[in-house]
Amino acid sequence: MKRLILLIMLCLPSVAMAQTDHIAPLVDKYSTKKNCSTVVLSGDMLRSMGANAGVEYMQMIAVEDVKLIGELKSDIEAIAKGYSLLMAVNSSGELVKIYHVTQVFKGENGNKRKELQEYLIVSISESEGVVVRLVGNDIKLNEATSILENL
Amino acid sequence: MEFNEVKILVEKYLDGNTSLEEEKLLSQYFSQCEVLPDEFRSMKMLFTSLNEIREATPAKVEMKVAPTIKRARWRAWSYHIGIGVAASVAVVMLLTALFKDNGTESYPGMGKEFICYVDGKQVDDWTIAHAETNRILGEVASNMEQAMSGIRRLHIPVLEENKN
Repeated sequence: MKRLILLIMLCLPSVAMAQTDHIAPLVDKYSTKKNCSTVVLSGDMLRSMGANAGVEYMQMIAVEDVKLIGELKSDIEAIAKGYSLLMAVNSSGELVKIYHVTQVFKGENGNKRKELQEYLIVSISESEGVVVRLVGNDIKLNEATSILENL
Repeated sequence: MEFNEVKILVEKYLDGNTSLEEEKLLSQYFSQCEVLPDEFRSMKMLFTSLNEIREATPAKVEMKVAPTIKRARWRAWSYHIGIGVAASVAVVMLLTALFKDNGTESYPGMGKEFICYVDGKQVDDWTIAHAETNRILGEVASNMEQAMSGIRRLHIPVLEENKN
């Protein structure tokens, strides 16, 4: 019985580690709604569009439904508790927040670990709420913002 | 059986070299023979005791002990099977976690370069998905530029990391 408990306890951290993408459920949620758009781009696609070589993927959620903007805002606030807030600017009714966290993922061989930088850019105005999650290897903040501006 | 024959068999028995047949002969001899020389009295006692033990043990003791042995065997078997099943489940969970983790990194996966939904409908045309991407990123970039211009007006030279 002790061995059984030990085995289960050994498995728990790996299961917990696997649940790192909190935005994916939101992408699924808003994909099915009217006046909402979601886009997920792979690293290859982003690189072909001129993004930094370290970019792994990008997820975007855009909500134009006024009722859903508040819902998106509270969804993001719930997720953002695990992130560091880099910047929050509220100007002329437009709120822009940039969050950051370093995530540990498995490498392609399944054993090698590597750290990925994750940026969560939230832009909420009266008419639209947008969330962009950019994940990449060794990406600085200015590189992340230039990817958004130049794609 | 002749006395000399018995003597030889007893010596063989004490040396541990007798066969089962020979031991049976000795047992029969000592149980039936009433008059014995002194040197064989201890042997008679030994074989009589052994016969008593043989008669007493088999049926009753085995009936009592058998269920306990069965239970012990079942417990040992189920314990090993349980450990095996638990280990298999652990390995499957671990592999699932590893591949799920990997999948997150190579998102969106399944060979797709993009996944796009507009107004609740999936878009497979890249030109539409690209236009939607540009629209969303343009919105974010414009809001960020506006926010950054606000910061520039405040003359903050460096953005420092603040913990939430």
